[in-house]
Amino acid sequence: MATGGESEGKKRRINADEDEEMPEASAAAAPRPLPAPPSAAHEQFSPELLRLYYDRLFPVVQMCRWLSYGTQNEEAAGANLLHKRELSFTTGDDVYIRYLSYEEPAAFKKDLLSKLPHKIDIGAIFSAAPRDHKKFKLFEPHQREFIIDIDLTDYDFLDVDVKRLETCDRCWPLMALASRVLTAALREDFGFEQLLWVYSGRRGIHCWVCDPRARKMSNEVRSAVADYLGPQLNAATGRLKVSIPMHPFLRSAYDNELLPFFREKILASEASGGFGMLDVPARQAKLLDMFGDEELKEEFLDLWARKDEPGLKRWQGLTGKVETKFKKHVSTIVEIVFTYTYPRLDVNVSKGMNHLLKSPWCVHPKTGRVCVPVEPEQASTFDPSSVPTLRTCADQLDAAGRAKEGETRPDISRTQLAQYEAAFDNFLKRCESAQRQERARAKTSSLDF
Amino acid sequence: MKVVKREIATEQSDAGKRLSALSMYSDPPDKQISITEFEEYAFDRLRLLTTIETSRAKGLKGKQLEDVIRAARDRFMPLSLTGLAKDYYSHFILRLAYCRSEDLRRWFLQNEVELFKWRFVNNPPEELNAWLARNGLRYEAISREEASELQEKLQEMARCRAAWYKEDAVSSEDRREHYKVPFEEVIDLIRQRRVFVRAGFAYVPQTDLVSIVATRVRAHLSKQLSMHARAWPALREEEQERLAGFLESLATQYIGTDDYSDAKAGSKASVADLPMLAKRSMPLCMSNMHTKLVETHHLKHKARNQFGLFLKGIGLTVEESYQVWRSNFTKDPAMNAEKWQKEYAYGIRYNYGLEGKRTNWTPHSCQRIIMEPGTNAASGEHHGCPFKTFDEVQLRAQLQQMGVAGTEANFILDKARGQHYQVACGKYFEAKHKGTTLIETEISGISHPNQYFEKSNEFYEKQTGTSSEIKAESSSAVPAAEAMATS
Ligand code: SF4
Repeated sequence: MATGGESEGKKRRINADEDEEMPEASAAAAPRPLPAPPSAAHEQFSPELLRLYYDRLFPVVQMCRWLSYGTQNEEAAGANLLHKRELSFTTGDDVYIRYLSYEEPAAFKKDLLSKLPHKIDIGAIFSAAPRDHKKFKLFEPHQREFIIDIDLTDYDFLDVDVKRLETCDRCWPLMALASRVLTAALREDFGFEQLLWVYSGRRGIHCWVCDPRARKMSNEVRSAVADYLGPQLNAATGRLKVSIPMHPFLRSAYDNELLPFFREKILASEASGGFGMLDVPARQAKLLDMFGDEELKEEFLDLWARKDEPGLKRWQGLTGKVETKFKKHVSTIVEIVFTYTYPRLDVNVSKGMNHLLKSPWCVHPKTGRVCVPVEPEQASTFDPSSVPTLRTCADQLDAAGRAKEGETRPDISRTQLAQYEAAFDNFLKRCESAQRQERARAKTSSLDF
Repeated sequence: MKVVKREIATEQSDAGKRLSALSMYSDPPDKQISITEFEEYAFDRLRLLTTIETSRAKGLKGKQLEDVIRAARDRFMPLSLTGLAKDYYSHFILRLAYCRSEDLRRWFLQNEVELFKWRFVNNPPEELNAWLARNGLRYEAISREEASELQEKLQEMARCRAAWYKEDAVSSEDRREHYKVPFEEVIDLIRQRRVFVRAGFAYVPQTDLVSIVATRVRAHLSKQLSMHARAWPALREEEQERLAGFLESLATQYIGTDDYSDAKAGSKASVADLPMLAKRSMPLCMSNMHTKLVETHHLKHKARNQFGLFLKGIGLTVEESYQVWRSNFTKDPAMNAEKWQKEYAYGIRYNYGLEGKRTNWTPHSCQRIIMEPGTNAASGEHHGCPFKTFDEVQLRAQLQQMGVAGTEANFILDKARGQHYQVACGKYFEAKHKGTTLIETEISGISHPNQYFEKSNEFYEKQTGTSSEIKAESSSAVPAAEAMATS
């Protein structure tokens, strides 16, 4: 079975410095014998493809540029943040190797090729190089991007089969909505600018908040920000808990994003690209259950069974009735809209500095899709089914032919990954210019003294 | 002593117009003051802090608490130039007196911070801004322009908060000033979405700013106290002669206004009445020691001291005291009158000022009894305040035995758990003296066992004046109460 990040339980766990017995040199020299199945040409994911990808396409230089945050040329020993960053690999045979760290792109690439990880995770920036972590008495995380992990499986109202890829792709608008809502809060409320949104390769989206201020947040602060961003699910009612009147941030999300999305997507029929939440009795019942009022539920189930109406019309009928006859449920309406639309972030991922998260540019082993950056402005038009897979990348490379003599164009630019790489590059440039400004500011302010 | 030499940096000097005692107390005062002033200042601050402590323990909040603090402030640290000087000195004196143990530090911190908060919210905003800046606290009340730009959002937020805190939006807008604070510093408000946030700043209303600043002040004070604690042994050496003793006893000093060293004129308990009085009019600490004395025919040194002085305070003459102690002690077969005379008579004469330093010793206050270490019933050490020294099971059983149960007992246990022993004691008094509302009327709960005793007597005196129920209940109660009628 291929390894996904989902099967933690079965994994063996290895720390980087403990796998010395692993014959590293030989692994690099001789490719592991992995008989290719006959249908290899149609496979989206295989060790060969992975090797090709890490060798010619994976943007290892940019990744290192990102993770050093402008410290790559620092003179002082230990000033380069890249050196202290934990990476971890999950290999094809489900071995989980923690506490890897690298000093430059070449070493990173060499290890990628020798270990062919099916999954790469990124951890915190530590007080010392993670691969030497046993040498230090004090080894603790110092910095960490604020991270957000959103996965379709947490949207419990969806009665779709999230195991099927087409279904996940159809639900993408929920992810796009999540990225818009959270981007607004992170930017406007917290003043964070350097947000890297990444498609998780199957049914979710991740966000890396990279501003220095975000990286330096303590666990307590992280946890508070995560709670600020994510209303709690009330298990008793099945609704997200929202106090009325709404906090200005939630209220503007509600007015600008959630309510329009609820009306235009959640209620719209599946035929027109919506979720059709009031079109099927089982879904109707689920929504009506959230009122916790049998009388109301019966009344509307009955009504909707007798009369065929578009979802929005049904909703209007329902809310109209609540406002006149079931007044005590008026605030429930708001909570229901939240429950069906508000991003379900996994707050535990956000709360700790020490939580690992899958790296951008990983390849999802089940789908073969590359975890590409997504710009929140473009999130709505992003189509996960068009994301290049290992196979399509390989085909495109083949089609483009061998690089001509003297040509310096990197391989990635001959594939569909080029546009995503450009987006990543833009993100890096934004980070770096902010870093320059910050440094200039620090300089002038230090002259004041 | 060293603490007094520089010009006091009272905060009004640069503000110029208005007096304000709001202070971080960063620099110790530097002018000389006399020992009398020194002591008087210390006592007055202690009274002020004690008032705050007991009002909080009683659960006073909001306006009520503010009023009590204001009244105590006006009385003990008035807002005048001398009052400010007194405030400044007394703060530093008490720091020294309260730096020596964890318990003392906590007590001092809690009440100083409460006083600070009161002063903070009662200062006009313009002055708060200047004060915050002077103290390097980078909170700034937002400009009028910013306020009007954000008006809509801030009002929206005020409505949320009002709903949350269940107050009306209008009153919560009274203190309308908002402060810009990096969001990292108000994580509790962030976590609960209780504050408007923009561009990395939380816009904290003044009502919440106080708790942020108070956290800072507490941290600052706490650090200072630990520094004093480390410096104390050396200072103590140096001040052996003059102030060390005073400072060390300050924390356990009785600061009530009444003097309990002798029974009030006309009130006088008799030996024969003691068993009845123990049940009826003694606080739990004393009735406990009395019981143990009767049951075990013995009390150890600290208990002899506490109970002995208490007996003196309720009017037993030295001869009567002899009689109480001797008759009980000699019930122990290993003891006889002669041996007793040799070993214990001196201590009693000493308490009455007839031996040694010949001081007319004062009965111990609650503070002192509560702070006295070493209670251990298993090894026969029965001194101390039962609300502190008994565990819950024991205390509940003891209350039951004294006829206090149900919600009253729960309340008492609750207060004891919260370390508000004197308030627990006050409630115990009420429970035993039906119809009294000591807790509501008296600022300081019970502050002295002899105060408890006298209040109890007053109660029974009134009862006997108006009704004859007591007579029916206990025949010996009446003559005793009458005999002790106070002036
Ligand atoms: S509070 Fe005072 S009077 Fe009451 S029991 Fe404790 S020490 Fe005795």
